[in-house]
Amino acid sequence: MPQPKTDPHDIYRIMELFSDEERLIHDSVLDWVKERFLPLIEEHYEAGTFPLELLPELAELGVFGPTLPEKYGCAEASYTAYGLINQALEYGDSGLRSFVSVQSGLVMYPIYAFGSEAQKDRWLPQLASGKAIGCFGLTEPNHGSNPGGMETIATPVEGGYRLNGAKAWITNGCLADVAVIWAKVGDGDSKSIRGFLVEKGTAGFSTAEYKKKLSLRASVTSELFLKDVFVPEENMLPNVQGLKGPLSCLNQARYGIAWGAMGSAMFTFETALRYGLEREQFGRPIAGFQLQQLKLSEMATDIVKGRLVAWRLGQLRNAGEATPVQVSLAKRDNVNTALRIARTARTIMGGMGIMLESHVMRHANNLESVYTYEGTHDIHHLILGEALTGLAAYEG
Amino acid sequence: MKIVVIVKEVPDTEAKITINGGKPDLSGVKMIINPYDEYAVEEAIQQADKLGDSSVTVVMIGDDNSKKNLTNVLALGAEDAILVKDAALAGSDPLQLAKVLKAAIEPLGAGMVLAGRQGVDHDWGMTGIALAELLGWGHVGLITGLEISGDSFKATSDGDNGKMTFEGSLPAVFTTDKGINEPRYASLKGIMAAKKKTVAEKSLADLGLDAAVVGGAAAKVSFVGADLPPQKQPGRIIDGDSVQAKVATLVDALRNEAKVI
Repeated sequence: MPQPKTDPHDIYRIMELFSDEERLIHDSVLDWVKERFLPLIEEHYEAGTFPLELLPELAELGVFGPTLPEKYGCAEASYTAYGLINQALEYGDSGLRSFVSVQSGLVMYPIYAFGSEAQKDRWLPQLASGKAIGCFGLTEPNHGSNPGGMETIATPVEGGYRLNGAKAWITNGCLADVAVIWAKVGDGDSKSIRGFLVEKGTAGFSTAEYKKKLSLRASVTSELFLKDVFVPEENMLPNVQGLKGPLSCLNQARYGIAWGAMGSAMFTFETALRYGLEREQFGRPIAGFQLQQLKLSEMATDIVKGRLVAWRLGQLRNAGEATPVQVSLAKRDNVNTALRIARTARTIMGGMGIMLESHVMRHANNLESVYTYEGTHDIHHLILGEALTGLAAYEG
Repeated sequence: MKIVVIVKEVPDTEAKITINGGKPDLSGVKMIINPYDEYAVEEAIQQADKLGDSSVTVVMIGDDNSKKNLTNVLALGAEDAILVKDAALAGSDPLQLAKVLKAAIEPLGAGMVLAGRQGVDHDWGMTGIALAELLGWGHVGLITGLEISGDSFKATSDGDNGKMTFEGSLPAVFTTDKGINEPRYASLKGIMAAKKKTVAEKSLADLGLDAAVVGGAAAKVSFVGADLPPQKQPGRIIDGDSVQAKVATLVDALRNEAKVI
């Protein structure tokens, strides 16, 4: 039998593991990213803006809440398809993938999973069609890795709650029409945490954008301030209480990041490989030198492994069996791998690697954030550490 | 109105194609929908939306592997598809393929047929025109604009020196040029819906056709071989002590070697 040639972009023929439908979804989103998004990213990255002009096209593609039911205007696709969408989006930019992760995993998911019928009917179709943007408020200025320590308080008042507190590092905060805010009811412990849908323009609710970021520049990151914000009873998510609510949302988003990181790694690897074959020194392409081949070989190997982890995680997720520990391992290791690959790609590209137009340092810089957000790299080690030993290192 | 769009598969335009024994070696090369046909598909979907109470049927001549690309067209918004596959069609020429398409399309009662202006593989640009002739329908080629009103149409086409406008009556065949529209990307919802749509497979026998007439063995024109363009000679840098000397050498080379001045 004739052996197919080695495809540097899919050495293990991983794309064959997916259904025709999943491949079509991946290809359609990737084509869009290459043709519509990449030509705009340099300008937006430099300006520090998200390309909002592409929002209708993203919605038309159907990338918001793609696993949710059709009756809300979603595609009811598999979790594997959702993973491949994230991979294709982060091939473009981690900020683009972050936008979709937040909208899908951190806003639409909790409304779908924990919301009332009225909340779902009102918000899901708007969020799916991009007519509304959402954000997720969990992290606070003084509480990152330890969300249970949050200080945002919801005080019961007649007809609803009064919210006070602040949220930090919130993707899409300034853009959002609706914020999912997590707060303790009364001054109770973390078991009293509830989710609230706070709408833009509500009295006492304000936002401020973080400027001068050196990472995720094409993504809007904000602080949220809540000063005596009245939220009516019907805007509280009725079906979840305690840390389980926000943590199950993070599990959704982390799942997508595990795939997205591989998209970024594939981009920086492909870019460095192409450059190595074109760039000549000492009369031949630098990709022919042993040191560069070692780098390329390690990058390609790591991508094969990371994609297979994502694929297996997707299978488990489709069956509803993926555990938070499995999601945590994949998020941590695939992001770490992608960051290493982006930095290595930069070294292969020499001086060109630092240029915005070569894109690899943009990816490397973005991944510094991805490494830290959605559970830091270090905390994810502690999650696996606890699962292995039964001893929780992060408890006081 | 029933709108038919015909599409074909061509080798991926981004693929590096090598020549092996005088023929293009397509092993391992991804097949894609002919880029000009993508404009035809988009135009068909847009016209169906504008007209209302209309649907788009895709017709393709292909093989078992073509179903993936057909599904992609269905994901864009076509309602159903007909896939004509028959081993005898290997090597058939455009006139023969037009006869096959006529047999597949005639029973559909279509108001118009759209196709790309040419396939980017052989660049013949004949199939749509031959189909119009065989159906006895009007034809406008290389269209960049189309308006339908009742049973009549107004089609425009961009010539080198300006725009041409044609009017005529339906049914008709149009071949689309770049610029007529901006083809959409398949949406997730479209892709999920596509799996519920039908692809009817037809052989030559199903269409009542005789392989001895439309099969590759009876082709009047056959593709026999291809060569890559000759490699470009490297350029020559003219040395000289002064600008005057270099210009003199250049003029001499242009006059006596290249003989262009």
